[in-house]
Amino acid sequence: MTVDLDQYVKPGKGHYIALGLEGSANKLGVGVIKHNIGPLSQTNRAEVLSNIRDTYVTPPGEGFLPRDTARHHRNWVVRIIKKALIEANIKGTDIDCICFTQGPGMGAPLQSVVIAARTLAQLWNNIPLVGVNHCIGHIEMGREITGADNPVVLYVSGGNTQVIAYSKQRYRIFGETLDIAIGNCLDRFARTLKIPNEPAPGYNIEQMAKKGKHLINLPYTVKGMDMSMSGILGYIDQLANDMFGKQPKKVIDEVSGEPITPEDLCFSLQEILFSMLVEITERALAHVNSNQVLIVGGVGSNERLQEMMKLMIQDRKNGQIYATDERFCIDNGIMIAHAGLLSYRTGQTNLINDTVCTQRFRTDEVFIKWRDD
Amino acid sequence: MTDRLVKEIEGHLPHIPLEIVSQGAEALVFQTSTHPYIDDPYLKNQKKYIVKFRPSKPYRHPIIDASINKTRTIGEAKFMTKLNKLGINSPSIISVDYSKAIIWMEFLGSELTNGDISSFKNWLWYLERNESEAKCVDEQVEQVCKKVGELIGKLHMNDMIHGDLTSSNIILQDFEPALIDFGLSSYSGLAEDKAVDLYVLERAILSTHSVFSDTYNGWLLEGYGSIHKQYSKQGGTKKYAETIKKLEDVRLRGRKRSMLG
Amino acid sequence: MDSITLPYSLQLEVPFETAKQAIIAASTLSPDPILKPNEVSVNYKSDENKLICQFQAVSDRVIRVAVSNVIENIKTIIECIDEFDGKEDQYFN
Repeated sequence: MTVDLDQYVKPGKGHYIALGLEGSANKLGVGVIKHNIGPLSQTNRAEVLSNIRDTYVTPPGEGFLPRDTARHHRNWVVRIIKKALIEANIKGTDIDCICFTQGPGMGAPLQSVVIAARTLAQLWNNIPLVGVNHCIGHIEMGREITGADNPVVLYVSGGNTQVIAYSKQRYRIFGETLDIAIGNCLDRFARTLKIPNEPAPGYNIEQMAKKGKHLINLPYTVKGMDMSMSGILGYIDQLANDMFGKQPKKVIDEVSGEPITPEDLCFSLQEILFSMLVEITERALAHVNSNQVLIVGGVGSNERLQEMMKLMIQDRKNGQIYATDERFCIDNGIMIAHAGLLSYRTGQTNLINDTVCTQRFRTDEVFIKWRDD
Repeated sequence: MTDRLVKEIEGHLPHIPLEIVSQGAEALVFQTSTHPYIDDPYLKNQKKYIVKFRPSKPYRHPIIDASINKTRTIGEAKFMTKLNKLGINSPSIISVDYSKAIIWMEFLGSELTNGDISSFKNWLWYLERNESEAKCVDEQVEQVCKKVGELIGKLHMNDMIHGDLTSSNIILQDFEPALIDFGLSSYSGLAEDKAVDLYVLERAILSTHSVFSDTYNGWLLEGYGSIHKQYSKQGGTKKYAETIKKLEDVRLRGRKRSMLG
Repeated sequence: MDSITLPYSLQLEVPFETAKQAIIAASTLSPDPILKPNEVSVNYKSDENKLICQFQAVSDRVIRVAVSNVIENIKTIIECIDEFDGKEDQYFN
């Protein structure tokens, strides 16, 4: 890397500290990160000083609505900020910039958090604000934690499903969902089955899928490097409603003659969706001549998905897979602090009137000034 | 490519010299000097042939895997046969072994100066990396882009959908484009399906050849439109208008897609 | 925006401890655009230690919704001020 990342270091200081605030969906996260001067490398890693999260959990069968999620974030944001500052053991004057998620995500929750960011920045002698694209946060944190240098990134979460690769100072989207996001698909099916949302609907589906044995026949809808999931969800939702509705219908596995269970449905849904994900990822790898995969986003913590990706990459020459655990996979404040700090170190900050959040903010809109490879 | 896969193909085709060309998401593509039965005088390249093998994918559930590999091998072979009959540029089929998921086909394309195979992608990348900016958008590139558009136009006029249109899946033989890779192909007269086909290509061009993507996409659509005009007696003009209208819908869906949980 | 006069209006005044706090509150609230600008408008300013929010809307119902949203945001601002104002030089515990 030849980009000078130290043009904006405070005189006499050898490091930077950033506070990051994330609240684009049902997780409220605040993190503090430290970069020492000089380019980040294996010997000069970013240091996580604190990473606090509070999740808004809804009752089984219910999704999180923007209004209620915003209320949750408002209730907690100041307390979580304080907790993050205590754990990081820093004071306000140590902070170089306050980073916040500017989008994409749900409007009301995003807005509820940026209010705290703006207030705090002004209270503490106008600390610079840095708006961060949520997806870029995931990618940069994933790269930093795993050491993946220039991977094809599979970004899978409740709101996003994208296959991304870097080229010419942008993270470009090679493949994505043509309709709903993978996490959304899994969450909605969890609601159909009335699976608890605690700790996370996707996690509970994963646990149930581990007990599934029989594969039911589902559509497989890959279109090049893109995929579509709404048809699959409609199909399996219908099946679940038939099986567990007012007049329950027994569905029998054709091979074994045994009845199909809810666990089998979770198993089948995961198998088909993840096969599609791995396939479009591999297609992107072949297309851009890469052999590294980095999985980020909440669904990225699914062990079966990681296993499948590993099996795919093992069949490719020098293939390498990188994934992070739930501290970094699931939405968090530290990734916003990290990506925001990279932005800050290249001189990109937001004036207060330029801190309005946006629900739609595409990954490839962001100019990646801190990379020039 | 790993030893496991080499062993698998060698088990299927013993004593056939194979040299890897590429490892796609679905298949391994080899070149070989051996023709499976008898040389075909109509093939453009008499010395080299392509062997395309779809290995089983260990990451997939065996039932899903078997079903995908079977339908795609059969689908691809049938699609190519139809393309050959219609005279739409694509490799000719030499032989197919459905049970082993192997297709032998004509070798198209040549080596670029840097040794890469002359896919549309590799050629554009070569220009971008080695030549001037002007060269990246010169008359020859314009011609090739338009021809690619025409090729896709012909495909769609026959209600055939490629399903995976990218610059990787177009091969240049003396600057004449040919389509390859039909594992995701299908048949449909619906404007929606054709529009998604075009959208997938448009996005692939945008991400893969971003510097001049607007220019390239413009030329591609020009070529696509001109073929439809030629087919006006078969309803080409109307079909074109329908598909382009749908394409705008699909683009809008892409931009407006909710990114919420 | 100022040229449009909507039939319903309301002025909300929130006193803060200091003028600086009122200025901060106004500039924190100001950037976000109102969702339905042809139905409601809000203007924020400060007057000494007071935050002044001026609402105009097509109906009283719309005003109620807008006021309620602004108050929610003000609550966050006040909580921030309570916890953090003047404490940039100290560790928390």
